[in-house]
Amino acid sequence: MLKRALIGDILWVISLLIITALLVFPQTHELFIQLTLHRPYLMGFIKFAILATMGELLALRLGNSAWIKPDGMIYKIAVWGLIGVLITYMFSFYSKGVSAMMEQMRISPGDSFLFTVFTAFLTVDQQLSLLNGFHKICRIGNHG
Amino acid sequence: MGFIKFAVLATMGELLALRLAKKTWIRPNGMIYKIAVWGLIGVLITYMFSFYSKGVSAMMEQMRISPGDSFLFTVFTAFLTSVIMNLTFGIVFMAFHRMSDTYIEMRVNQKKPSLKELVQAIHWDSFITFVVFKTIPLFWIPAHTITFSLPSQYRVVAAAYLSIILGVILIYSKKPKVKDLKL
Repeated sequence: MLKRALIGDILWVISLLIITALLVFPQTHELFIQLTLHRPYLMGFIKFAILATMGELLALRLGNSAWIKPDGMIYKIAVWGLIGVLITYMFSFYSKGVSAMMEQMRISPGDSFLFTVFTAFLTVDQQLSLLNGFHKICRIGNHG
Repeated sequence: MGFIKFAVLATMGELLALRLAKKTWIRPNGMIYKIAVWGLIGVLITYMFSFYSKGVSAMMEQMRISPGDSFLFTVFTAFLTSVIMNLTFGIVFMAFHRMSDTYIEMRVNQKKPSLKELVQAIHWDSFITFVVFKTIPLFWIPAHTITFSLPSQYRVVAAAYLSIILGVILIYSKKPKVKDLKL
């Protein structure tokens, strides 16, 4: 039992390393940037389907000390993918909204680090609350 | 102005809803606090209306959808703004208002609830099944499509009027529980 868990651990870490490597190596890095630029929503789907699912698997592993396939995993992956598409849209939406409001209020967007962080803070604030709630409902729906 | 519009009109809506449900005029518990909360919500809504409308324009610009001046296009943009706002900010704000209202009622009744007790006191099942899944698609999205089709200076006051209309619709469509009347 413990051995199986260990193999799972290794596979999980290797998967994460491969993904990270794809982001780091210059050639695949460039491909990643280009794909994200030109196919943002498809990429949003893929990123969340993979990484969020890995996160869920890890959480289950830590909670149960064994690798468990969650109930209805394929549906959950699909929901994560759709959330990824939504997040891609909303990230862009909120960030543009904040800039436009600042412009209207004549707060001139400087390039300083502090200003960037402040803008990001305003944006995150609006995003988080809803996503959490929606995802809770999806989860319960899946279980029911 | 956002504060004043909502403090006055939303409170009138609440009073009317109570009148229609109970056949007599009733002063809600902790009314003064509820008025203040409505006012603050008015400020928030004033900001958010502007925010979402600008966000939609900016997204359209990025996607190279050029904003024409035709009536249809105005309504389409308004519809899009309404959908995005109601499915994001709308839900969060209505949940917040549920909590603030319940908190005020509990405080007036000499209870001092912790956050956990407050959350447990709220009927979240009816909030999700009725408020989120019925009033949003059937009332708020179409209603705010009209709101966002109006010139921007009329939008906030239109929204404040809408809160009265919703109360009345609910009363005549069935015998609702008073809980359901809260936005």
